[in-house]
Amino acid sequence: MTEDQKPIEKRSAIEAGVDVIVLGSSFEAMIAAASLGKAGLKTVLFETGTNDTNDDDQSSRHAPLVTDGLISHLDPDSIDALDLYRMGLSFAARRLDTIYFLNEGETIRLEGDFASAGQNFDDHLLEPFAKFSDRLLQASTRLATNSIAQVNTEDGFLSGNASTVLSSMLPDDGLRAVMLSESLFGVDIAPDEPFGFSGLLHRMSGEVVGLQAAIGYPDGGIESVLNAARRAMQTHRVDVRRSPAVTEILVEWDGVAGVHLDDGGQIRAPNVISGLSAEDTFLKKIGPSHINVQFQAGLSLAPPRVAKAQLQLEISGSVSDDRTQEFMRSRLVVAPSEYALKEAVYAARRGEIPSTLILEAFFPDVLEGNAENETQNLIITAYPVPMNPADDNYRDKLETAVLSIFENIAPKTRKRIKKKRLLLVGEESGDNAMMLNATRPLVQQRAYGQSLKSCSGITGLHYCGADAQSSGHLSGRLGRDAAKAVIQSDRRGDE
Amino acid sequence: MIAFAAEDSNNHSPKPTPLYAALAAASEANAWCIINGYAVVKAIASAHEDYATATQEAALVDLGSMARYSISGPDAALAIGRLTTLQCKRIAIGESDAGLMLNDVGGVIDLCDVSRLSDDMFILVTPMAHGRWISLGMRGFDVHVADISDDVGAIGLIGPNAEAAFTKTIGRKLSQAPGVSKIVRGVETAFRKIRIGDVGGYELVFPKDEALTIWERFVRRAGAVAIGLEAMELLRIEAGLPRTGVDFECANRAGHAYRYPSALGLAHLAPLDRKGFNGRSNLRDADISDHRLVTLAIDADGIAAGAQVRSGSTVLGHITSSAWSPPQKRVIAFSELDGKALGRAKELEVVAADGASFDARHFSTNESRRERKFYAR
Repeated sequence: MTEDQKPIEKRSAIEAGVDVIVLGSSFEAMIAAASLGKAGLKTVLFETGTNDTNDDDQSSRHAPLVTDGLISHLDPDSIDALDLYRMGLSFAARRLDTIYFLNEGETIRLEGDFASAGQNFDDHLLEPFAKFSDRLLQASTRLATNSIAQVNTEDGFLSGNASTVLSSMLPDDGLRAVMLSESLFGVDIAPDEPFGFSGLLHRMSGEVVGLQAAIGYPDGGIESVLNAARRAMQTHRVDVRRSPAVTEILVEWDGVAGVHLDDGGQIRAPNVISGLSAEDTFLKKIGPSHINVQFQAGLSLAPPRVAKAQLQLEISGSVSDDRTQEFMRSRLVVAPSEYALKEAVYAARRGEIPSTLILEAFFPDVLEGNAENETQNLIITAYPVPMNPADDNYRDKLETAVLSIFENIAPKTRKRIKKKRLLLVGEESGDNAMMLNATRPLVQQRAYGQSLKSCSGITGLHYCGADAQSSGHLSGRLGRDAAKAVIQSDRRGDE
Repeated sequence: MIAFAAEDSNNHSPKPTPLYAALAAASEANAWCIINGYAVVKAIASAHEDYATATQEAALVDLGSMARYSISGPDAALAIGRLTTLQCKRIAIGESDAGLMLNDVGGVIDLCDVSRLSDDMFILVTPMAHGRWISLGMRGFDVHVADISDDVGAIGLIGPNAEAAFTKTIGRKLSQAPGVSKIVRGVETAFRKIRIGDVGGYELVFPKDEALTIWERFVRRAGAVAIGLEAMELLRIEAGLPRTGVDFECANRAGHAYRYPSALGLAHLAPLDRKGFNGRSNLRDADISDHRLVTLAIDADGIAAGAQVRSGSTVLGHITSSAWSPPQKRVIAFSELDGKALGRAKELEVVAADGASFDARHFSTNESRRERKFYAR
């Protein structure tokens, strides 16, 4: 038989024998898929997104647009269960100190271990801050492990506005501005609006490398965390596919039955985990006929009115002196006053670029020990910026605004810029988009997440997409929970 | 199913229905209430005379206070199948069927009737107005929904002589005029068959400006007589049809416990082997409520809603609505009882507000017989 005469290999129109189908290439979806593979379930993950490279070319994954950021909420159970450290996860910085830049040139430094931070404060601030951090950490721990109602009952921390709660506990304007910025960074809420303080509780409820409330930077950036999850999937034999695309999640009666593909084929499976957006999952891939009316109404919850923006810079000049290196090894935060922050949130909601912003900046190369390089990367995340900018020259103006504010703490930065890229919300997908989204107030977002996780009562369907996240952080917890639910139902089925 | 919504006692500025003038002229009792914002006549002569008309002759009832929605478009059947427990593909053009609207957890929002006017056009009739809920339920479907409650008038023509009256009015037998619309004195009216317990009839819907013309035609040519809400109450309790806002609360109202269809004796209207309706998946897994609506015949001349229902010293529940029944010569009522305790109860009594107690017993209704048949299946 010649090459031309060989029969054409035909794909089977219906593929069976799959236990779980995972949709999406977000961190949560990968953690879910890897956990299921590890449990011995035949798992197929359908990737989505713009990263069009193959698995052998990991380095090129750094090249596409990737929102880089610091990590504060990486789920320790997912790391342990999948042994992500063996899969390449490592931290260039585990407990980043933060230097806060206040109005009028004042700075406050907080050590990376929040429980013992503030030791360098004046005597009159030491005690109130220690008391404040104790209460804050206790409430945050409860938030991480209990229901929201318990936290609120005991402290009233959830419903209070950030300004009032902080005023009652911290006697110093500077410290209040610091904690206000931590409370409201990335949350669509003004200092005097209810539920603002819950942002700080959430920020402090995370864990990195065994330390609550710490902030870390992974070696190789966020992409290296995603790569560790990819390797975990490979190790646990997850079948990763990029095509054909999934066009529909099949629902028969009240249960999921598999997916429909754009080549006309089907994969039958009793479980589907979606890491896609809620709209894509429930409205486009399932359709209103199979979801409940109130559930569907909940999907159209108004999005946050403000967002983050990220300016990625490559600046010239190596760093040789220790003092500058120490400065660059810290997380730098510009913390505006309460009044300025309030005005900024209102301006961003109107679609205007605020004159004051919270900036969070760090130098990845320095954190990775490359301070001697001739160029350094600098990542600046700005908040609040408009979700729907009203200005035609928005990008240029925002870039100018961010750099002007940043030059107050690092003069002449502009002159050293060799390359720059501004990332705005809506320009990326998956986890990257998530990291630039502002979130709703915690209580509202958690309720929304719970509703999404109910999947409108469709048996075998589990949701772990970014819409169910409580904040724009990589976590892995939702993916692990979804995998756990599938494994439990699989065991019940075996019995 | 024809049942009015609860009276709206907080509304003090009712709208007239298109038939208000005719009913105001006819009503000797001149007793009115407000339902869905419309003035509704309670009785024309008296509840009992109205009831006799409905059960022995041909009675006209103003149905203008019920909420009506036209739903049209390629996805109309699919969307209604999700919003209600009805399967529209089984409703032929010109026919209608009764079902329920449930919330996400399977609690009953309201009763509903759906009539099919063409392949892709339906009329949804509900006792209460649910405009927001219906528009939420239609999201994502290729349908057009319009609230036509204010644009149309509606008459119920019921009683043993209803068909004869209808024939007289349109000038020929119904069987010779198939279709979903009839011309009454030059006015096109949509019509459908309706039934309240043993009393059958027709509902006619027409443009509101023609309402009085149609009414006059039925009164003059067919000799039909108007009746009021109280007679309808009697008919619907006899039929075992609970009234929204009276015998149960709409499940969408905040702060009220919802009731599953089985608690209302209407499990046959939400069969779990019918797929696609809202709340079905939760209904399947739900712990069926202990509450149960039961129709009681009470040896009394009058019992008000709220009266206790007891078995010995055990309080089983309370009366939710009641009316004096001429054929039974006693009060008939809906009561909400504890289902488990009811199973153990031997004799029932109802205790009035003044402390007097009256013997009571359960009686079968059309709906309870349909439910029993459904469970037997």
